[in-house]
Amino acid sequence: MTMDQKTNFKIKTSEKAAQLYLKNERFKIQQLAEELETEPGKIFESFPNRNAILDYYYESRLLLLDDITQKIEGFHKFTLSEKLSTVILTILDLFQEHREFVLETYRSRVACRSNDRTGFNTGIKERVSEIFKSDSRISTFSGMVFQSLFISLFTLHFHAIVRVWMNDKSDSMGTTMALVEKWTSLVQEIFYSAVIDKGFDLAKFIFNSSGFSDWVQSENKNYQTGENKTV
Amino acid sequence: MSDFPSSKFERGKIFAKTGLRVGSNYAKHYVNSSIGKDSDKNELHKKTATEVFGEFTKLRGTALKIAQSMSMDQGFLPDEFADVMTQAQYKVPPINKAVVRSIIKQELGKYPEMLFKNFQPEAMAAASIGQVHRATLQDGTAVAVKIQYPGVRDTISSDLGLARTLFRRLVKSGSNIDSYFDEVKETLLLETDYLFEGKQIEQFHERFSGSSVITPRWIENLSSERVLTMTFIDGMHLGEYLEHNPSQEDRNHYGQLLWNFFHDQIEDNREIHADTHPGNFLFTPDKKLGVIDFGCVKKFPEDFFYNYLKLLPVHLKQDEEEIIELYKKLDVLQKDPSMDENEKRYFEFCRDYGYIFSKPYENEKFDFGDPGYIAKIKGFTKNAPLSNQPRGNKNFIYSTRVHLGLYHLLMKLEAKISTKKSIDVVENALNSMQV
Repeated sequence: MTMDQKTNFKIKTSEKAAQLYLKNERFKIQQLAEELETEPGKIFESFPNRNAILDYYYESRLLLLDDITQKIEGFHKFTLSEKLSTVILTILDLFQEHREFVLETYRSRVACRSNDRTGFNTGIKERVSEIFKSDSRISTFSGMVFQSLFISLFTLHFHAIVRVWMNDKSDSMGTTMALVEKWTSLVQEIFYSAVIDKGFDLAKFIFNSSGFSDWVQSENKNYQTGENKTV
Repeated sequence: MSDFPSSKFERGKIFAKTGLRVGSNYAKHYVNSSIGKDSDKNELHKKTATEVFGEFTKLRGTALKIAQSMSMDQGFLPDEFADVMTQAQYKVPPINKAVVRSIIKQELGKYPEMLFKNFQPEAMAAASIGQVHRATLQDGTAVAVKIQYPGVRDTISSDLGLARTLFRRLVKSGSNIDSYFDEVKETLLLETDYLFEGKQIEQFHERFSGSSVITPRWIENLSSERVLTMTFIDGMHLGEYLEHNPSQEDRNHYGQLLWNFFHDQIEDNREIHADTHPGNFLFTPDKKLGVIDFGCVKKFPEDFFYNYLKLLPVHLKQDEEEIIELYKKLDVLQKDPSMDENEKRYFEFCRDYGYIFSKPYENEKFDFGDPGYIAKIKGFTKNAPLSNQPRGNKNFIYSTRVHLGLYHLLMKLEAKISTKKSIDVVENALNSMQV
């Protein structure tokens, strides 16, 4: 997928706005238009106001993420941990390009807003949900019981990782990378583990083969017959 | 995929766990033996080695380097142990593909798919400090991209700090172990500087291009301190090569190339490729010797190198007085061996080892496949006078690694080598040095 001209313009506008924001939090659309060598009217065609432009900076990271992941050869073969790490690390790489802006605004514009009020939070959940849906290696039980809980809590985990990244003084983001790797490895262990599936399988087998199932059926029959007799 | 333990605590825990496992395995074996129960020692070595290897591969970095050295210096460890440890050359679990991409982005500014025509997300080899991916440049050139594990530089300092503390408790009080540790640390840290390695690649290419040795080219614009791109060399590593049951003639050919490569470096009296383990040499389809990995390249101080090389003619002459003099200069002996029983033990061991080592230079040809010779080399390493007092110049760490590594490769190849001109090469090098 290549992004259309309008989306490209919107992304460029939001990135330029992020730069201007660091110089003046209350920059004018006129200033932004001058920086972009365009007319303010063209910006207003895409955004109602300054806030919408700045919010779009975060939403557009997800569009860039989609564009990047689609170019990765064999991405569909990546494990759950590798896919989740790709999502997190790619967004952080994109944040790194406007690090100061993210440090200043992430908390107020993303982390402290309710999920349904930011396109970024809902967008990231959608992408994670898609990763889970497309992974056939996830065990049935873990998928049924933990998946929706994990997806709904994913943004919280992500905000925590961003917080670590913000304070990461290690070489080449080493601490953040280690955290992402360990966390996604744990998630993968939980979701790929077939222990509970196999436990159920064993219980089902014992139930069917030990005569217990016949006993339950005959008890039911007796009960029903008795019940009929009573009636 | 595996996660990389980078904190001092995690790594210390793995070291301790490994020590405990080894201890309990051997304790169990000795208890079983003492009560008359059957306990297969070979199985025990194999089991212990597999466990140690499993833990060391998690640690990568320094710990894995130690494993590599142990696998190379065959004879020092039981055979079963050395066989398992040899895996340390090739089979380390690779890091998460997403982390690899992120490192490339941070180091080179763009993701691999934007930089290369093709980039294989699966690592083709993973070793102690980094892992290697195959890729193709936009112009179609096949390349190898080496990615350094995140945080590996910090683990070198913490692992060596841990090892230094342990060694201090083992060695005789007052022994100076710091110079050895500083030498290893300095070399390992230099190995993490991929820009330095890139420059070495170019220097070696300049020295050996056009000969029967192939070295890669450095792709500087796609390299940084932690990412190294170089042209790809196709070929087989020693283990894979031997699986194809090559003819004696073929083995002699590659053995001769290895022998010559070593002596050409002595003749040049410049930097020496000091990481002589099987993973760093390739036997190419066009019958050339591929040499890769130039992270551990040493330029020995001239006085040490002179005395080290002089060991060869002096041992060939079997002149004991000169040998003693040289050992003193190289800090192997502290006193006259005739005056002290302990020094005598050291002297006799080193002298006899030296005689064995100089054997290939005695005649015009030498058979490294001679079982008697292999047994002698192994026997010497196993019967080294174990003492809690470190001996020898610090530069022995890497000079021995090169020398032992070469002999080990040739013995594995069972190659018959023409050594006719080699003693002249050493003599010429000695004459050219102004010491």
